[in-house]
Order: sequence, then structure tokens, then C-alpha cells
Amino acid sequence: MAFNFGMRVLVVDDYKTMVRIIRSLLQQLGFQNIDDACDGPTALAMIRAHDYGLILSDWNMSPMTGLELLTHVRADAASANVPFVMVTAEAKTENVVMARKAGANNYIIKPFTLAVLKQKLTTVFGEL
Amino acid sequence: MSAERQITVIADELRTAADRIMGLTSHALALVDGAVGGDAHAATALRSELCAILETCAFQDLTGQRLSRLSATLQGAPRQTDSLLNGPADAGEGLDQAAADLIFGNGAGP
Repeated sequence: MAFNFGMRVLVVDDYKTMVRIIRSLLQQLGFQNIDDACDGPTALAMIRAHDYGLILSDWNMSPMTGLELLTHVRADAASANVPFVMVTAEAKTENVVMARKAGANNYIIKPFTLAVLKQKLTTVFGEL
Repeated sequence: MSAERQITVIADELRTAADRIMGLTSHALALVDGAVGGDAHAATALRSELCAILETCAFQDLTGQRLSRLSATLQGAPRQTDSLLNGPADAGEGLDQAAADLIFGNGAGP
């Protein structure tokens, strides 16, 4: 899917505060069409039902971690190429390595700034 | 990390977040008059301060994760066996964004 600010974006995090923060910062960048899910199974159902241009997901969630969600997303031909950015407090080398191996397009460590979010999305899409 | 140490870390994080939010808010209030008066620079700076306040509110997620870990410690719950689920890093540990970028292959950090 070609980049455009009207593309459907999915934010996945079990903390509502973080969903609100990411949603507001994405809106500051110009994104207009933002959905959210509080857990992996709900997110997966939404991804299978809609055509998302970007997914931002937390890692440490239950009953499905963000890594497991990413694995499911990449295993489905319909969503295999959807840009997926991990947004997480998990900050061990192994986490970053595993996320990259599983097919994440970028990795943002919480807490983060609007500038970091913009830079990581620019890396994924090119100039926003 | 002991429960007592975890509590100290959480208290420190809350204090830091509160201080930052109050400082940003004070500065934002000082910019409001300029912005209302049509000063474009003040309006831009005000937007920047408000975004910074928003960013700081991430403390609720991070301290929430620390509290969950503390609760597990106090209840004597078995240690997390998934080595990829550690929650927020302790001070001086964990990667920063620049280090994560290098591993991910993004080159220079922010």
C-alpha cells in the first residue's frame, strides 16, 4: 500500500494511556484514520477484517504478546507486508533481534518522543 | 530487585514525571498569551510543550508495568520464565533508542 495520511492505522497496547498518547502523536504527524486494540487476539481479528497500512504494537501483552501478534501477521499472506512497528519498554538486545527476525519494520523503546516516532516512521515509509 | 528497591524506583519515576509535567505546563501557560496574541513562534512552542506533556504521560504505562512486577514479587509469584518479557529496564540497564537502532540496522539514532 502506498503511503498516505489517510491510511488505516492500528495501535495495539493493553494500556489505554499509551493508546491515547500514540493516537495523539500520530494525529500531530498528520495521520487521520486510527483504530486501536487492547490485546493481540482483538488486533488480529481487526487486521484480518480491514486493510491496515501501519500497525504499531506493544510487546508485553496477554494472552498474546506483540511478538506473537507479529508472527501471526507475517504468516498471513494478506498482511505479510503491512508495516509493523514494535513500541515497547522491552529493551534487551534479544528483544530487538527477535523483533527484527520476526519481520518488524522498526522498534521504538518507551518512553519516546514525537521526534522519535516521526523518525522511525520516516525510516519505514520515507519522508512523511 | 527487592520489593523495597522496586518501590523506590517507582516513587522516583512518579516524582520525575510530575516535575516534568508541572514544568512543561508552567512554560506552556507562559506561551499562551503570545499564542493568543498571534505570535506564531509562541504558538509553535506551545504545541511543542503540549506534545512533551503528552509524551511524559507514558509514565503511567511504565510505572503500571513496574507495579505489576512488584505485585508479583510481593505475592511470591514464580519468576517470569519468558526471557523476552522483562518490562521496563532498571536504571543503567537496557538499550537506549540509539543502541536499538544500530541493532535494527537503522544506522544513527534520533
